[in-house]
This record gives sequence, C-alpha cells and structure tokens, in this order.
Amino acid sequence: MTLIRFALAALLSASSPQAPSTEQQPKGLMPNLGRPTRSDDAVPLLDFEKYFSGSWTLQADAPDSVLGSGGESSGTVTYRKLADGFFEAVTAGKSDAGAFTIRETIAYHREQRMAFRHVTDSRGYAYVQMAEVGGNIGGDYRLFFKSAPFMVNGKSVRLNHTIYLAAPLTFRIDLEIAEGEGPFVHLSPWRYRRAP
Amino acid sequence: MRHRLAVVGLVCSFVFAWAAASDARQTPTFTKDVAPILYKNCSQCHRPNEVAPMPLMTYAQARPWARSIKSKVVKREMPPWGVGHTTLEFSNDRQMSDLEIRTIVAWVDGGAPMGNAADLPAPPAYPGGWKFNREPDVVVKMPVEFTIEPKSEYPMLDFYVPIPWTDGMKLIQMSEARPSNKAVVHHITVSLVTFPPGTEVIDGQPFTTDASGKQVPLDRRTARITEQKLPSDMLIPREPGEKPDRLSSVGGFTTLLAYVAGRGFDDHPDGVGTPALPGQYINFNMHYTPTGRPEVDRSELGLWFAKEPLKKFHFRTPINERQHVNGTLVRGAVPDAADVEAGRVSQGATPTTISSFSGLPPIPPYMADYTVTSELAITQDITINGFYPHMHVRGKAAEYRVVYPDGREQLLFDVPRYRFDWQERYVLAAPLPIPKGSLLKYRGVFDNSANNPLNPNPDKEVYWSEQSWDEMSLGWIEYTLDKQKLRTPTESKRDQ
Repeated sequence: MTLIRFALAALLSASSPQAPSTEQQPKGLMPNLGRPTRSDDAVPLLDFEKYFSGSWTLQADAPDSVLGSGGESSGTVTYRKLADGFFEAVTAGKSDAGAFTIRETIAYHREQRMAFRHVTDSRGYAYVQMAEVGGNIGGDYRLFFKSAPFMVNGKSVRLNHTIYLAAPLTFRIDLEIAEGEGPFVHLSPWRYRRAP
Repeated sequence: MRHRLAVVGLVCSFVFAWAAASDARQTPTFTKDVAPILYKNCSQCHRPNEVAPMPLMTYAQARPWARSIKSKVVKREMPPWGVGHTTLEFSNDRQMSDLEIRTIVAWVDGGAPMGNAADLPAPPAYPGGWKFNREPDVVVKMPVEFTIEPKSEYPMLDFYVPIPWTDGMKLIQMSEARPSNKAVVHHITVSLVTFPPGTEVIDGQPFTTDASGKQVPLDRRTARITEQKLPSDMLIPREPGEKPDRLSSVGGFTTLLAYVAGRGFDDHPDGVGTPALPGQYINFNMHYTPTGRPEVDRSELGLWFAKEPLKKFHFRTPINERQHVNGTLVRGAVPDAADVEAGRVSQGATPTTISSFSGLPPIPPYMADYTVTSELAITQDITINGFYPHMHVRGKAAEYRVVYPDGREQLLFDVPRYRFDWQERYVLAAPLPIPKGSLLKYRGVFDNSANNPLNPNPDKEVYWSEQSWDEMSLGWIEYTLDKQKLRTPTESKRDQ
C-alpha cells in the first residue's frame, strides 16, 4: 500500500506543471553586479547574436505613405548568424495589401558600436543603412539606423529606423521617413515579441 | 418565376441604392464631425513638437493615419487613460464617449472623407506651443545647454536660475516644464529654493566661500526654503505648540511640478498656488538617461501667475509611511517629524523621494507581483485635488484607498495597467475632503518577470533609486490645508 501511495505521488508530481527553472528563463544583457548601478560602470558591448538570434513575431500599424497603403501588418522575422559579425533577417509579413517579404543582410562591428544593413522589400524597394549602437547601464540598447536616399514609386526617400531593445522578449522599431530633402515624419512603431 | 425574381431583384437594387445613398449622406466628415473630437481629446499631444510622434490637427495630417486611429480608439488604447475602478470623477479624463468612437469608425469605414472646409471649427489655440491657451507670464530656461554624453548613467543633476522678476511676490497657479530633447529627459522636477547669503551661482551651480577664502560648491541641502522666510501673512496656521508635520511642512509646497512622459503641465483651482519671491532660485532637477550617442538638452519652464488672490498653498506629498512588501511590514512611520525638522523631506522632490524608497528590499528576479503598500496618517483636515502614482519600468498597477475615522474604507481609484511611458496626473473634477484621523493607502505592484515587455533584466534583483531600471514606489497626493485661509491684500491692509 505504501508503495502504491508512493508511486501515485510520484506520478502526480511528474504530471503537474513545473515552474520553469531560473536557468531556462530569459536573461537580460546586463551583468549581475550584485549592487545598484553607478555612473562609472562600463556599458557592456551589445551581443547582437545573443539578443536577436531566432524568431520574433511582429505587429505594426502604419499610415498611408509613399511606401504604400497603411493599416495593420503582422508577421514573423527570423534572425540567423551568417558568419562572425554578419547576420541575416527574413521577415514574412502580411497586411491588408497582401503578403510581403523583407530580406536583410546585417553587418555588426561590436567594438566599433556600428551596424550596417542592406534591406530588400518585396513591395518594390531596397536600401542600405548604417547605425550607431548606443546604450546605457540599464540595458536600454538602441540602434540608430539611417538610410541613404533611395527611390520608391518615383520619389526619393530616406528611412530612419531606431531599434529599441526594451527587454529580452520584446523590441521595437520606430520608423521615420523623409521625402526628398523634406523633414522626417513618423511612420509608426513595429513591435516585436520573441516567438514561442 | 423568372419574372417574379426579376421584380424582387429590382426592388432589392432600389433598396440597396437608397441605403447606399443614405449611408453616403450619413458618413461623417473630418471637418464637421471628426476634427472637433480630435481637437478636444487628442490635440494636447498630437500637435507639432509635442510628445505624440505625429500631429493630427489637419485633414492632411490625420487622413494617412485614419485606419490606425480607428484601431486605437476602438481598443480604447487612445486617448491614454489609466483609471480603472473608481468612485471619483477626473477633470482631465480624455476618454472618448461611445458616440465619438462610433463617429470615428463610421468616418474611417466611409472612406475618411474631408468634407466641406467651411465646416471646420477653429483649432484649439496653443500659443507658443504651451498647453494653456495663453503664453506664460514668465518663461525660464535652464541656465546652460547640457550635453548628455554616451555613458552608463547620470546622477540627478541640479541647475539653478534666479527668479527673474523684482516686483515682489508672485503666486504661481499654473506651470509647464518642457524638455528640448525628449529622447534623453527621464524627468524634470522644478522647485523653489533659497540660498544662504554669500552664495554665488555660476552657470547654474551654487558656490560659497570656505574659511580659507576658497570658492567651493555649496551643499544644496542648505538651500531649502524655511517657513521663517515667508511673509508674515503667508505663514501656515498652527495651533499653539503645534510643530510642522508631514502635511503642513513648508517643503510640501515648494515643488512646482514634475515632467515625465504623460505629464508636465500642472494647473490648480482658483485661489490655490505657490508663492514665489525675488531672491529665490528655480531649481531644475534633471534626470537624463543616456541614449548612447551625444545629445543636448536645455529644458524650459513656463509660469502663469494667479489672477485671483491666493487663498491656499498647493501642497504635495507621497504616501510613504508604514510600508509593507507583499504583506510584511518593512518600514515604520518614516519619515517622522525629525526628518521634517531636519529638512530631509522638506527640500522638495529629491530628498522626499529618496526617503520614500530607501529601506525597501530589492525585487527578486522573475517575481511578477511584488506589492508595496504604503500608508499616510492624515493629521490635518485636508482637501485632495489630484493624484500622481509613480513607478518605473516594472510598474504594473497602482491603487489609492482611504480609511475614514469611522473605519469606513473606500477605493478612490486604481490603475490596473500602469504605464511607465505614459504617467498620468489624475486631477479631480471635485475636490475630495479628507478629515483628520483618516488613513490614506497606496499600493504599487511591480512585475519583474520576463513577460513585462519593458523589463530589461528580469534575471536581476531590482534596487530602489531614481534610475529608470531601478524602481520607485510613490503615490503622490496634491492637496490644500483646510485651515489655511490666506488673507487678501485688502483684508491685510484693513487689519493693519
């Protein structure tokens, strides 16, 4: 009887949901200092591969613009390492206007805190961008991408993407667009969440 | 049969055509129906150079965002408003009515037409870009343009500007703080201070002369305003033998306002304000968060003076006595009268806020519901005009309650989904009297789990400080003292 009770307890234990161990939980990019931060603490260099590798879901809510009809978009982007310092990101998305694919080749120079990317969008345009990579000791990294002018639907445009790495499971891209020599205007945030 | 179907089809065509024509007639237009809603509910933020990323003041500005506007208002994500359950009404509640939401939906679904230009009402006036409908009586800029270098973090920085008028006391009823670079300004707290004689302020920094005659930085703790420096007819009324306490100390009204995302303009009821005297200094307490590239900021302050005689001082204080963490008492009645006497809570926001979180244990890694409950014993009859809950990126929910002297407990309001990126000041439509003997309670809930989309490091313990990756638990109240009845100049003269 005791043996049966023990086996039952073991079975129940095995079948009940387990709290994920701390080791399996997502981790931030900051070292564990064991104390509050100080202004003389060094900001660690961004580990691009550690942060981005894998798949993320995305949601965006854009205005009508020279890039096309606005509205809500959703999809998935997958980052993978190509070689040391080089990465690829492929976005499979859909919007009211139909499906689209964005292919990026990214170069990241960790020590120089610089990134470059070449982006090809199936909606009919491509561009190159370079970025300063900033951050602070709170783990609030930002990539400030600026594009060279490129043509869309007969118009010269420039795109700024600021990527905010808010948390291990979420990041956000704020888009700005300028037509010709005009000022930059807001083009909606794209919000990303680590895919399950 | 075929003939009968044709007749039915014809009738249906007429019905559909009539319905379509009717719909076309009823489709709201921007100029007549939508612009008034946007002007009333959205224009404070959605105008050029304001906190919202895009202006929505004209048809050309709003039309590209039409579908997005519909999506946001239907989900009630916009206009932002934090209050969930409440027994109160708020004068700055910008939520849209169901009718307003239906109007916007019908406008978007109907093709978002512009309509007749003659129908467009006059847009709300924001002279100089300020939030009030006239320019400030005085604008004060930070004394220097400050460069925020790409470094790990900045401590709180203070810049001082002398009161720029010489013609006596002014009563500040409204104030607005504006950063010149919103990307780096985490907060601006503006307060009034008085320096000791002999202080020299150079580029916004106070210096004094030490015993050897050398010029040295002044200890800013000596810069507090004391009650003795107030004009005699401005003194806070006290019973014989009564000492300043949490609710009546002079430091409670020397902070003008705070700017964070979501707030930065404080207005007070007629007759309620802050006295400011020539000889005092305006203290810009700046918290900059580096972005990783050089940035510059020179924030500014607009002041509007009271047109009516001042009747009461505008006080504020956080609810921060007797703090419990997840039900366990971690601090007693701190700060106490000694703190007040020593100026530790009467300097303005910074010492007050420091005393509000020191002693709290760190939030453990991955903890999703870390709850800090704070109390404040009401030792004077007061009237609350507003509230301001403040937490950082782990902030998840907040709640204010009151226990009246007869034991009756009332929920004032809760904020079920607190947002660090949009921190509201909740202004009461009708002032709320709180009698002496009551107890105010504030509850802040923190989420240090990985599910918090703003949590940069769920695997770390979270400490308590003003850095946005650390935490604060502050439930501010804004109030007046019922027993304070300042005399008008006429009454003062008459009594002399």
